[in-house]
Amino acid sequence: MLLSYPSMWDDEAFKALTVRAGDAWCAMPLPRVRRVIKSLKLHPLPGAGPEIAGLAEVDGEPLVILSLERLIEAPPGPAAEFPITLLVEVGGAAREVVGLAADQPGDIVYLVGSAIAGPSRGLIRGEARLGRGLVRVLDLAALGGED
Amino acid sequence: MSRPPPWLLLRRHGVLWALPHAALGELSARRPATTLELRGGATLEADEVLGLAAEIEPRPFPRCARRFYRDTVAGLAVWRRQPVVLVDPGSAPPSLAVEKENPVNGDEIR
Repeated sequence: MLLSYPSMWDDEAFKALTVRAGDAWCAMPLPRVRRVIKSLKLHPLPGAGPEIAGLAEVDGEPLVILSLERLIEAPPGPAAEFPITLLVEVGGAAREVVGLAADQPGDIVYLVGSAIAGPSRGLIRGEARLGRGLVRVLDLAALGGED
Repeated sequence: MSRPPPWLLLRRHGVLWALPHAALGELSARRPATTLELRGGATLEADEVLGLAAEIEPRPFPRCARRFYRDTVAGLAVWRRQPVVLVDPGSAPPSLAVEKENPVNGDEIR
Protein backbone atom coordinates (compact mmCIF):
# COMPACT_ATOMS: atom_id res chain seq x y z
CA MET A 1 0.00 0.00 0.00
CA LEU A 2 1.43 3.36 -0.94
CA LEU A 3 0.99 6.06 1.63
CA SER A 4 0.80 9.72 0.81
CA TYR A 5 2.41 11.52 3.72
CA PRO A 6 0.41 14.77 3.66
CA SER A 7 -2.83 12.86 4.03
CA MET A 8 -1.64 10.21 6.44
CA TRP A 9 -3.29 11.86 9.41
CA ASP A 10 -6.74 10.81 8.21
CA ASP A 11 -8.42 7.48 8.92
CA GLU A 12 -6.02 5.46 6.83
CA ALA A 13 -3.59 3.26 8.74
CA PHE A 14 0.11 3.96 8.31
CA LYS A 15 3.25 2.30 9.56
CA ALA A 16 5.19 3.99 12.31
CA LEU A 17 8.42 3.24 14.11
CA THR A 18 8.48 3.57 17.87
CA VAL A 19 11.57 4.69 19.77
CA ARG A 20 12.29 5.79 23.30
CA ALA A 21 13.71 9.23 23.95
CA GLY A 22 14.36 9.96 27.58
CA ASP A 23 11.33 8.78 29.52
CA ALA A 24 8.95 9.04 26.57
CA TRP A 25 8.05 6.68 23.77
CA CYS A 26 7.46 8.22 20.36
CA ALA A 27 6.14 7.00 17.05
CA MET A 28 7.20 8.47 13.73
CA PRO A 29 5.93 7.69 10.24
CA LEU A 30 8.07 4.91 8.82
CA PRO A 31 8.24 6.37 5.27
CA ARG A 32 10.21 9.26 6.77
CA VAL A 33 12.84 6.99 8.32
CA ARG A 34 15.71 6.28 5.98
CA ARG A 35 17.91 4.29 8.27
CA VAL A 36 18.34 3.25 11.87
CA ILE A 37 21.95 2.88 12.92
CA LYS A 38 23.75 2.44 16.16
CA SER A 39 24.67 5.57 18.01
CA LEU A 40 27.25 7.61 16.12
CA LYS A 41 30.38 9.25 17.36
CA LEU A 42 29.34 12.84 17.90
CA HIS A 43 31.45 15.95 17.47
CA PRO A 44 30.40 19.08 19.36
CA LEU A 45 29.10 22.20 17.68
CA PRO A 46 30.06 25.12 19.94
CA GLY A 47 27.35 27.72 20.24
CA ALA A 48 24.53 25.33 19.40
CA GLY A 49 21.46 24.90 21.56
CA PRO A 50 20.92 21.70 23.54
CA GLU A 51 18.60 20.42 20.82
CA ILE A 52 21.69 19.78 18.67
CA ALA A 53 23.43 16.70 20.04
CA GLY A 54 26.38 17.22 17.71
CA LEU A 55 27.77 16.61 14.26
CA ALA A 56 28.60 13.26 12.71
CA GLU A 57 29.74 11.66 9.50
CA VAL A 58 27.67 9.04 7.70
CA ASP A 59 28.78 7.56 4.40
CA GLY A 60 31.08 10.50 3.76
CA GLU A 61 28.39 13.10 4.37
CA PRO A 62 28.17 15.53 7.28
CA LEU A 63 25.09 15.17 9.42
CA VAL A 64 23.53 17.29 12.14
CA ILE A 65 22.28 15.09 14.95
CA LEU A 66 19.34 16.42 16.95
CA SER A 67 18.46 15.18 20.41
CA LEU A 68 14.98 13.71 20.22
CA GLU A 69 14.71 13.87 24.00
CA ARG A 70 15.31 17.62 23.90
CA LEU A 71 13.07 18.20 20.89
CA ILE A 72 10.06 16.67 22.60
CA GLU A 73 11.06 17.99 26.03
CA ALA A 74 10.94 14.51 27.52
CA PRO A 75 12.05 13.96 31.10
CA PRO A 76 15.26 11.96 31.47
CA GLY A 77 14.75 8.22 31.31
CA PRO A 78 16.73 5.13 32.16
CA ALA A 79 20.26 4.90 30.82
CA ALA A 80 20.36 3.94 27.17
CA GLU A 81 21.62 0.38 26.73
CA PHE A 82 21.44 0.47 22.96
CA PRO A 83 21.28 4.10 21.80
CA ILE A 84 20.47 4.65 18.18
CA THR A 85 20.55 7.34 15.54
CA LEU A 86 17.67 7.62 13.11
CA LEU A 87 18.32 9.19 9.73
CA VAL A 88 15.02 10.87 8.96
CA GLU A 89 13.56 13.14 6.32
CA VAL A 90 12.12 16.32 7.80
CA GLY A 91 10.26 19.23 6.29
CA GLY A 92 7.49 19.50 3.79
CA ALA A 93 8.11 19.90 0.09
CA ALA A 94 11.80 20.64 0.53
CA ARG A 95 12.97 17.74 2.61
CA GLU A 96 16.26 17.48 4.44
CA VAL A 97 17.95 14.57 6.15
CA VAL A 98 19.00 14.94 9.77
CA GLY A 99 19.88 12.51 12.50
CA LEU A 100 17.76 12.00 15.58
CA ALA A 101 19.50 10.61 18.62
CA ALA A 102 17.25 8.27 20.60
CA ASP A 103 17.74 5.90 23.49
CA GLN A 104 16.08 2.67 22.42
CA PRO A 105 14.48 1.23 19.31
CA GLY A 106 10.95 -0.11 19.60
CA ASP A 107 8.59 -1.75 17.15
CA ILE A 108 6.97 -1.04 13.84
CA VAL A 109 3.29 -0.49 14.47
CA TYR A 110 0.20 0.55 12.57
CA LEU A 111 -1.34 3.85 13.52
CA VAL A 112 -4.60 5.37 12.40
CA GLY A 113 -4.75 9.13 12.16
CA SER A 114 -8.14 9.34 13.84
CA ALA A 115 -6.71 7.54 16.89
CA ILE A 116 -4.17 10.30 17.48
CA ALA A 117 -5.53 12.61 20.14
CA GLY A 118 -4.39 15.45 22.29
CA PRO A 119 -2.99 18.85 21.48
CA SER A 120 -0.72 19.19 18.48
CA ARG A 121 2.32 21.33 19.23
CA GLY A 122 5.37 21.63 17.06
CA LEU A 123 6.92 18.29 16.34
CA ILE A 124 4.29 16.42 18.36
CA ARG A 125 1.17 15.67 16.37
CA GLY A 126 -0.62 14.17 19.35
CA GLU A 127 -0.68 10.99 21.38
CA ALA A 128 -1.84 7.48 20.60
CA ARG A 129 -2.43 4.53 22.88
CA LEU A 130 -0.39 1.48 22.00
CA GLY A 131 0.44 -1.73 23.83
CA ARG A 132 3.20 -0.02 25.79
CA GLY A 133 0.93 2.86 26.79
CA LEU A 134 0.68 6.39 25.45
CA VAL A 135 3.19 7.30 22.76
CA ARG A 136 3.83 10.73 21.32
CA VAL A 137 3.24 10.72 17.58
CA LEU A 138 5.76 12.85 15.71
CA ASP A 139 5.04 14.96 12.64
CA LEU A 140 8.45 15.17 11.00
CA ALA A 141 7.14 17.64 8.43
CA ALA A 142 6.80 20.14 11.28
CA LEU A 143 10.53 19.95 11.93
CA GLY A 144 11.18 21.59 8.59
CA GLY A 145 13.35 24.60 8.10
CA GLU A 146 12.39 28.20 8.52
CA ASP A 147 11.32 29.89 5.30
CA MET B 1 40.53 21.36 -15.37
CA SER B 2 40.94 23.83 -12.55
CA ARG B 3 41.29 22.52 -9.04
CA PRO B 4 38.89 23.69 -6.36
CA PRO B 5 40.25 26.41 -4.11
CA PRO B 6 41.80 24.98 -0.97
CA TRP B 7 40.49 25.33 2.52
CA LEU B 8 42.59 25.89 5.60
CA LEU B 9 41.74 23.36 8.29
CA LEU B 10 41.79 24.39 11.91
CA ARG B 11 40.91 22.79 15.19
CA ARG B 12 39.26 24.90 17.84
CA HIS B 13 37.39 23.77 20.94
CA GLY B 14 37.62 20.18 19.74
CA VAL B 15 35.92 20.95 16.43
CA LEU B 16 37.30 20.94 12.90
CA TRP B 17 36.73 24.17 11.04
CA ALA B 18 37.65 25.06 7.46
CA LEU B 19 38.34 28.57 6.25
CA PRO B 20 38.67 29.52 2.55
CA HIS B 21 42.41 29.88 2.13
CA ALA B 22 41.94 32.98 0.00
CA ALA B 23 40.43 34.74 2.99
CA LEU B 24 43.56 34.34 5.08
CA GLY B 25 45.76 37.39 5.40
CA GLU B 26 48.36 36.53 7.99
CA LEU B 27 48.94 33.62 10.30
CA SER B 28 51.04 33.91 13.41
CA ALA B 29 51.81 30.90 15.51
CA ARG B 30 51.68 31.60 19.19
CA ARG B 31 51.18 29.47 22.24
CA PRO B 32 48.76 28.27 23.26
CA ALA B 33 46.77 29.39 20.21
CA THR B 34 47.49 30.44 16.63
CA THR B 35 46.14 33.77 15.49
CA LEU B 36 44.72 34.15 11.99
CA GLU B 37 44.16 37.58 10.57
CA LEU B 38 41.67 37.59 7.73
CA ARG B 39 41.80 39.89 4.71
CA GLY B 40 38.46 41.29 5.79
CA GLY B 41 39.93 42.49 9.06
CA ALA B 42 38.63 39.85 11.46
CA THR B 43 41.00 37.98 13.73
CA LEU B 44 40.42 34.36 14.64
CA GLU B 45 42.13 31.93 16.94
CA ALA B 46 42.83 28.23 16.48
CA ASP B 47 44.20 25.62 18.84
CA GLU B 48 45.83 23.86 15.91
CA VAL B 49 46.27 24.52 12.20
CA LEU B 50 46.17 21.26 10.30
CA GLY B 51 47.02 22.55 6.83
CA LEU B 52 45.34 22.93 3.47
CA ALA B 53 42.72 20.59 2.07
CA ALA B 54 41.33 20.72 -1.43
CA GLU B 55 39.00 17.76 -1.11
CA ILE B 56 36.33 19.64 0.79
CA GLU B 57 32.82 19.30 -0.64
CA PRO B 58 30.58 21.93 0.96
CA ARG B 59 27.08 20.96 2.00
CA PRO B 60 24.48 23.44 3.27
CA PHE B 61 23.78 23.61 6.98
CA PRO B 62 20.30 22.10 7.35
CA ARG B 63 17.62 24.76 7.51
CA CYS B 64 15.69 22.76 10.10
CA ALA B 65 18.63 23.03 12.52
CA ARG B 66 19.10 26.79 12.09
CA ARG B 67 16.69 27.57 14.90
CA PHE B 68 19.05 25.74 17.26
CA TYR B 69 22.28 27.27 15.93
CA ARG B 70 22.26 30.96 15.14
CA ASP B 71 25.92 31.49 14.21
CA THR B 72 26.62 32.12 10.55
CA VAL B 73 28.51 29.34 8.81
CA ALA B 74 29.16 28.59 5.16
CA GLY B 75 28.08 24.99 5.52
CA LEU B 76 29.33 21.59 6.58
CA ALA B 77 31.71 19.09 5.06
CA VAL B 78 33.64 15.95 5.86
CA TRP B 79 37.40 15.58 6.01
CA ARG B 80 38.95 12.22 6.78
CA ARG B 81 35.63 10.95 8.12
CA GLN B 82 35.25 13.85 10.51
CA PRO B 83 32.60 16.56 10.21
CA VAL B 84 33.93 20.02 9.41
CA VAL B 85 32.22 23.35 9.95
CA LEU B 86 32.88 25.71 7.04
CA VAL B 87 33.62 29.26 8.15
CA ASP B 88 32.05 32.25 6.46
CA PRO B 89 34.98 34.72 6.50
CA GLY B 90 32.58 37.64 6.50
CA SER B 91 30.88 36.49 9.67
CA ALA B 92 33.06 34.13 11.65
CA PRO B 93 31.42 32.32 14.57
CA PRO B 94 32.13 33.63 18.07
CA SER B 95 33.68 30.25 18.89
CA LEU B 96 36.66 31.24 16.76
CA ALA B 97 37.06 34.69 18.25
CA VAL B 98 40.27 35.62 20.03
CA GLU B 99 39.88 34.91 23.69
CA LYS B 100 40.99 37.49 26.19
CA GLU B 101 43.98 36.68 28.29
CA ASN B 102 43.39 35.78 31.89
CA PRO B 103 42.07 38.82 33.76
CA VAL B 104 44.32 40.57 36.19
CA ASN B 105 43.42 42.36 39.35
CA GLY B 106 41.58 45.56 38.59
CA ASP B 107 40.02 44.37 35.30
CA GLU B 108 36.51 45.59 34.93
CA ILE B 109 33.90 42.85 35.08
CA ARG B 110 31.24 43.24 32.39
